[in-house]
Amino acid sequence: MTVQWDNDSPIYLQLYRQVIGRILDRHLKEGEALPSVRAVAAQYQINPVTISKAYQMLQDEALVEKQRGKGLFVKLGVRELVMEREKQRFLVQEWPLVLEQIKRLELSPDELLASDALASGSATSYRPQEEQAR
Amino acid sequence: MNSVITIKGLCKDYKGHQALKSVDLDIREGEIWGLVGPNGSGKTTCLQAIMGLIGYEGDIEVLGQKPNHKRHKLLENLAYVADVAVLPEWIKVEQAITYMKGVHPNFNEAKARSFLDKTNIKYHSKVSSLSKGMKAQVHLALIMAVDAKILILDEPTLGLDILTRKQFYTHLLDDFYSPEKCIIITTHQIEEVENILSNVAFINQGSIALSKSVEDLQSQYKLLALDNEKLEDATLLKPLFTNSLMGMTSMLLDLTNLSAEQMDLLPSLGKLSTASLADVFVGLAGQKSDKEELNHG
Amino acid sequence: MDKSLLIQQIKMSIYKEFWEFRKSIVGVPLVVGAIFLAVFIFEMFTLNQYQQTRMVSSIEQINAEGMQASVTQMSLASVFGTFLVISFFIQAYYALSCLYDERRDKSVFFWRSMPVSDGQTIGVKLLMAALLIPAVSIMIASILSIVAMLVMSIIGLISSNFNVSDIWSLFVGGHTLSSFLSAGYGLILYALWLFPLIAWLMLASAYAKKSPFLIAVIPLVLLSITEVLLSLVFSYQTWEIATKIATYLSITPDSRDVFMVLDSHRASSIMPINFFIEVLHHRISLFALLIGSAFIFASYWVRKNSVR
Repeated sequence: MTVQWDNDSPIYLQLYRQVIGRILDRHLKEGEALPSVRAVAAQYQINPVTISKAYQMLQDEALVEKQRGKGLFVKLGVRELVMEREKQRFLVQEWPLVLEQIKRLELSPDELLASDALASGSATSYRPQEEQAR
Repeated sequence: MNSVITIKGLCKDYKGHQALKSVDLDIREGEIWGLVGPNGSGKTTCLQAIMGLIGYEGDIEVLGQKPNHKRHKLLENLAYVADVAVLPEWIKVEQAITYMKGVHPNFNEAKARSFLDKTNIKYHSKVSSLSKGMKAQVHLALIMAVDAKILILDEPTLGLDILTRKQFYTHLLDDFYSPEKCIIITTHQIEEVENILSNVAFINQGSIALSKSVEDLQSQYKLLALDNEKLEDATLLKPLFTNSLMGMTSMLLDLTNLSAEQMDLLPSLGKLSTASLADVFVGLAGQKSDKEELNHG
Repeated sequence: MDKSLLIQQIKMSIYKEFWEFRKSIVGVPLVVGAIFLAVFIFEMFTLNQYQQTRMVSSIEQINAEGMQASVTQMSLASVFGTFLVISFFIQAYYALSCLYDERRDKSVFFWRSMPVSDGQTIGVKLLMAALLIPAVSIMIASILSIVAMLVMSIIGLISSNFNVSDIWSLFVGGHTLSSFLSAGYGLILYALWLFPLIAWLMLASAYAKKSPFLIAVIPLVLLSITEVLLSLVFSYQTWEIATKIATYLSITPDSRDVFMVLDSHRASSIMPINFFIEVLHHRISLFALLIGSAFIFASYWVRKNSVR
């Protein structure tokens, strides 16, 4: 599978984020095993050490644990943890940049909400839980 | 990690033409090296020296021994494909497997068969009846079924279609690679192999221009995308190359050439991103190199 | 473990040579043998009355005069001799090709990536060229002879004219079995005798860029011409290397040494196979073996240092 890795951050970080994303989307369930380093390396055609690094990061953050002889498994309760953390990260790091772009393009909140409906087959549609930023 | 191949001061002279000028390399277990260089750069000569095919000056130690002393013993643990198009035309695939089984103590027949089973190649076919891509597949399948500590592949995907190339890399990583082995690949298609490499050596005109881990290289070389307005300020950064298009300029920077102040200045000049190996190589090859300016691994 | 690996490798290398050259080594003698057999069977089964009567009386006469040995031996000798001549050409073809073909199609890149030493490779090819190829031809000749004898016996059994016991005494009295054994010994001598020539051809095979045959032949031709010219210019004898080579390789009854052998035995009592062995004894020399070894070593050196 050809994945386009971007040039902004090291691949192992991008892999790490990919796993995080999978956990949040529930594609990777708690208690489920991560695919082996070998399998991921072969499928994405990346150096196995890079995969190991990403996996190590996940282990260091106690998001996955090693089960002897079986590999790495997503720990229980991890999704909640990750969700919280990612929310914070988004609000503090990413959102401000997006906000700046919105202002630059002079987009109105209605336009923003309308675009969500346009998005094809989106699993989660927008449910406003916070006040709209202005 | 242990060293598997150690090269110090390797020189090779061919009647007045110096093919290799004091090459140093240290290759360890678990590493996947890319040896990159233009045609005539000496990369094949370097590999030939490692494979015990030619005489040389300097020191080479492969798995603890000199490569041209008792070469056949070394070959039990060093597998190589010097050219994918060299299987004998008269041999049948089945015969080639039988031969390797009888002659190579580390040949794993099951591995070879499991790979070939996934292809359309019939065991009783003569090599001469196979297409170019299939011949390469057979050769690679046979060599990668050897449980060798070192695998050297000189342009293994030359002339192969995209599907075969992808299959090959998958097979390499899935079935062959292990943290105790090391792999050296030469290829003209750096982009294809970029993410697989752990280390890279650029060789040009017989000398190693650069030999580093990919990680180090990616922290050292960056691409800076900036507006042409900021161009003047940026030239002080000693870029390796500059590319201007549509009011934007892309520069390849060697961060070790920059002072701390210059480093801090970077985000204000433009956007930094990781340089691909291809970018770095083009940048280095294009430079009129003063040897002191280039880093050795 | 090392020794058994070596034996296994040598075995497999021999198989590989057979696979590569099977058509020449096995195919040619087999086809020739099949043709001989077919012709023989055809002849035997289409003898008319007159021919049959003549044959019967001949056999009776041979048995009566105790000439079984000579007659059977002569027949066997001509069969084996023919196959040996065929084998010689196959051997020469193999020796000229064995180190050249692999360079021409670049498969030497593949072979040299195997953990098989150059020494072993040269050794196996030499073994093939000198001993194994003639062995195959001789085996086919033996099978052919045995089948021919069986055919004759069958005819003897079927036909009312022939007497089986007469035919059988022809075979037994002809020392058929012991001559097969002598043939084995003769084969080894034959290999030793031809060794220098084969080594020379292999060297040409290892060295030649385009045509191993020319590389092998031209130096010899030039040598002969040079010597002829020298002997014309100077009246005294030169080294006569070319002549010596020719003598070494000749095995025809009209050369000097051969007469010596004939002299020392009663011509009528000598079996062709023993005669052949005696001549070989005279021909094989230490000097020739040393020259051959030099050629073989040179072949080894050339292969080892050909970059691929």
